[in-house]
Amino acid sequence: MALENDDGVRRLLAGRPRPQLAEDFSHQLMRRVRQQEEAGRGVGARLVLSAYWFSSLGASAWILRQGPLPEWAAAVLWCAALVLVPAGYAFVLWSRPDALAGRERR
Amino acid sequence: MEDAPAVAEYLRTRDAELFRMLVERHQGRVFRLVAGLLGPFADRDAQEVTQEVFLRAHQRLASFRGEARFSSWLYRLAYNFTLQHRRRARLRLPHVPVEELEARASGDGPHEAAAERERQRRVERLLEGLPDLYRTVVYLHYWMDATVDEIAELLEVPSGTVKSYLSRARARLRERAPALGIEGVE
Repeated sequence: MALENDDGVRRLLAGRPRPQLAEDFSHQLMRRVRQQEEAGRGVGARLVLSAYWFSSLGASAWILRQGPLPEWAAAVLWCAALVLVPAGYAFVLWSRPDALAGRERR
Repeated sequence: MEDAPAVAEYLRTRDAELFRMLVERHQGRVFRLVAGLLGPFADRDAQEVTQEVFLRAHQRLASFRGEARFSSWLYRLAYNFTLQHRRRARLRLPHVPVEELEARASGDGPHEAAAERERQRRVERLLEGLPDLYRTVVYLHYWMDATVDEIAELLEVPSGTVKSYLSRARARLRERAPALGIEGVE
């Protein structure tokens, strides 16, 4: 196995096929870019909804501490904070499957 | 439209066609750089790594301030990302050269296949034993047929430096070849 100057190095690498870029490379890439952007928006939506949920919980606790409320009013408040807001959170995620695309892609 | 204004316009409008234009303008060179960095013994990932480079560039586009050329920023990102990928991949999987798989599948006898495997293993050890920069210029020049000027642009070094890297790489190959049983090195 000879190795003499340029020709020798070339011979070492001869016969090894060079990889080729796929013709639709940019098309494939742009599809992944869109997925990346949608996943990013999904993260944003989850953050906003989480902030909303926690602030609702905080506000509910604050209102209940202010004074006696009728029992039905407290029940409505807790129902809103603990059931309706999380249900809304889940609804938004399930109605926007792209929001989960980032996790499902790989 | 030049690169830097196109980036600024894309960040403002998020018009996908602008980013596609940037990709199509640079994809060939980035792919050659990535392939040259991975080398012929691990080139199967070249396309996937090139996609990851552009995805990472897309994520970090806002950090491009136009102080350097966009191509320089992109090639630097490709260089660093591909070297990281290469190191991780080599830790994760024992590499089986394509030729070995072909030899296994071909009708060659066991002795010929074993001799070919051994030859490939020695060549791989010789070339892969070079430092990152030397190995990359060797692969880009002798395998991917990139010119010295093109390599200089991809690696952001003067052409004279590329020639010097090539010369030193050849010297190292000549020095190490006999120990690996590769003869005829001048």
